[in-house]
Amino acid sequence: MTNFKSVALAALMGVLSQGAVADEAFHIGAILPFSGPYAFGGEAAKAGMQMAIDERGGKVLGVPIEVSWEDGEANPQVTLKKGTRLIADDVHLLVGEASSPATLALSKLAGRRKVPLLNTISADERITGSEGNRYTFRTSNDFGMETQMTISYYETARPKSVYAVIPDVGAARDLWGKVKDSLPGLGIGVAGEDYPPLGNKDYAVIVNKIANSGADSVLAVLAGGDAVNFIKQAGEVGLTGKVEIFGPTLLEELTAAAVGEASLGVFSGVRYHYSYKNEQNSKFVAAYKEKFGEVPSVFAGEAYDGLSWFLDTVEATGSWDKEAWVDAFSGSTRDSSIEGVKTMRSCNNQAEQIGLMAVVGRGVGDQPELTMQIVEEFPADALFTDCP
Amino acid sequence: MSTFVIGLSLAALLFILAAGLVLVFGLLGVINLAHGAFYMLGAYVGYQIAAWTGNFWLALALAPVFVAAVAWIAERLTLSKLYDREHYLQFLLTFGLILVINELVRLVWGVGYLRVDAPVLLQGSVDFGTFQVSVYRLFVAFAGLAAAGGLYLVLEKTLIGTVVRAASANSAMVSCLGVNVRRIRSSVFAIGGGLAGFAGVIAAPMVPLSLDMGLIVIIDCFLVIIIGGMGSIRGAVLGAILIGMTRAYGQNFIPQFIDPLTFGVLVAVLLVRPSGIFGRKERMA
Repeated sequence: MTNFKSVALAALMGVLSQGAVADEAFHIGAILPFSGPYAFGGEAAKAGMQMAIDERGGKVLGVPIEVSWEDGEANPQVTLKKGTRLIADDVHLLVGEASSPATLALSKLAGRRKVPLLNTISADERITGSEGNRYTFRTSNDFGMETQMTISYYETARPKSVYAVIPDVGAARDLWGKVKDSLPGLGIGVAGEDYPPLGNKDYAVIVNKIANSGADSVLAVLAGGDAVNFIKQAGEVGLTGKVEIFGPTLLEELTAAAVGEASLGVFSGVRYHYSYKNEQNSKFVAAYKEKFGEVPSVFAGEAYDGLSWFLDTVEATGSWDKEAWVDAFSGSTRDSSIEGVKTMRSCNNQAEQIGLMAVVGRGVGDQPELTMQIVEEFPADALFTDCP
Repeated sequence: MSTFVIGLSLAALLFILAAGLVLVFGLLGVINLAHGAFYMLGAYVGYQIAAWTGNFWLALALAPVFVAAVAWIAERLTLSKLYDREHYLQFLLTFGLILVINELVRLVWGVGYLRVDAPVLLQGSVDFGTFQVSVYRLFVAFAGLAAAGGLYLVLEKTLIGTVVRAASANSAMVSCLGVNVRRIRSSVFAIGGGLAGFAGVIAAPMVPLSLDMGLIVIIDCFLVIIIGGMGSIRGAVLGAILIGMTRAYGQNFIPQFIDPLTFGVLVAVLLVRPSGIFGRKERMA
């Protein structure tokens, strides 16, 4: 009897030491921007996550999934504070944020506290690069692959000269630095470059400089409100019809609608698109439209895809051990992604995936009035180098 | 030259927005933090009227009236109870108004970007040979000049303006003369809100409508009134021109330093004129 007790106690201790005791619920702490410049993205990501949870009957590992929704305000300090509180509440998984600085702050916290962090939209390379850690995963694009897409775009487009509008932040400057280095080899000149601050209030003067520079192409590494401001003001003086405008994250349906007619013909990379042809995506888009009455945005699609992938991985482990989830997710391959096949690179926890290039055109049928039309699909092996 | 015209349009928009803030501070002595929220509300209400009627001009006429009504109600229900209390309470109250207005806008219009198109008459650009300027920016510059002229005439050349200026200087004395100061305060707060709403509709075709649009612009607005001198309309004109031109020429030569440059102008002015260019010196006991 004594032996039996000892064995049972040892087994219990072993299980407890691995943190592998089943809980009553799987608790997700989602820190998304529900206010501030990315608020529209936060709401869309929430909808995408909810779809992923509902699709599996609201359960994983046989228990209900509970989500604590927190507003990160796209602010690193706020995100860090809320992340700390959620970890104190013993969340099993953190999801967030949308702004790269906020995600970087959250990633450091997740790494220290050994809690898995799923990021589905921030693109700064450091998140899964120099400042990455074993617990942080990104299922969407990073700036590295978007840099390659930009270079590929210029290899095909071959304008005479490019004018670059780059927000004054490190990640965007890095992207432009690499693209700029590749341009002489393609016989493309640089007509000018400007580094306005993030959240710049007015681009009219820069638009005017571009118009007088003789450039026939503009690389605008802008997103969200900055991108809308820039293209809208370029449209005011007819620049959008005279030069080709491209940006790796420039537009999607929500922002194209905010620009209006001036967005027609603008090229942009898109991280996810509702029109991407595969069975899983068609199913997801149909279900999303039925539930929300509109097509899913980039934020919604990426959040759905990333969370579905992680929860399926957790389910497959059959374990409540966070280390087992992290081990299983790193290096895993997602055949049923709504963006084709995705592989979580074991060397940096960055999802290897295709890249999509689109141009703004008029929607038909039940499409949005202005919609992104996919013009090129870059295979994953053209955008990523092998893990060392 | 194009940079100058663009700077003028930025200055015009800043002036229209700052003028309401100056009026409220001049008469009520209240720093209205919710001014940016009134600006945002004006843009959203303008969007709605334009969407319903397809008429931008109607939006430009009605949205400021709506925002003025909201401001009047807010003043009567809340701010009017706090004039005799500490300044920090007024400060907190106007901050609270931002949260209330933001949440109402979020409930009605959601969090996505919205768009207002310029009227057909003001679309396109004017070719000046070596440069082009959008017709709408010229209109904004004109609207700013008209607003400055109109305010000057009302405040300096009419009986209403005289009463407002008198109440601003000594409200107790004006009250003794039988003027209903309470009503003047409410009206000035409403006019301030209306001017913010007007600026919101004017700005709407140039920027995407979003919940943080008021926050983005209000900092420059405060720079304008601090540089010009708190409570001075003349100062607001000059402050708006300084900030507008700094932003335009800074964008032209050193866009990456545009924000430090703008705040540098503020520091430079305050070093020379601590009360702002047209600010009144206060005697400290």
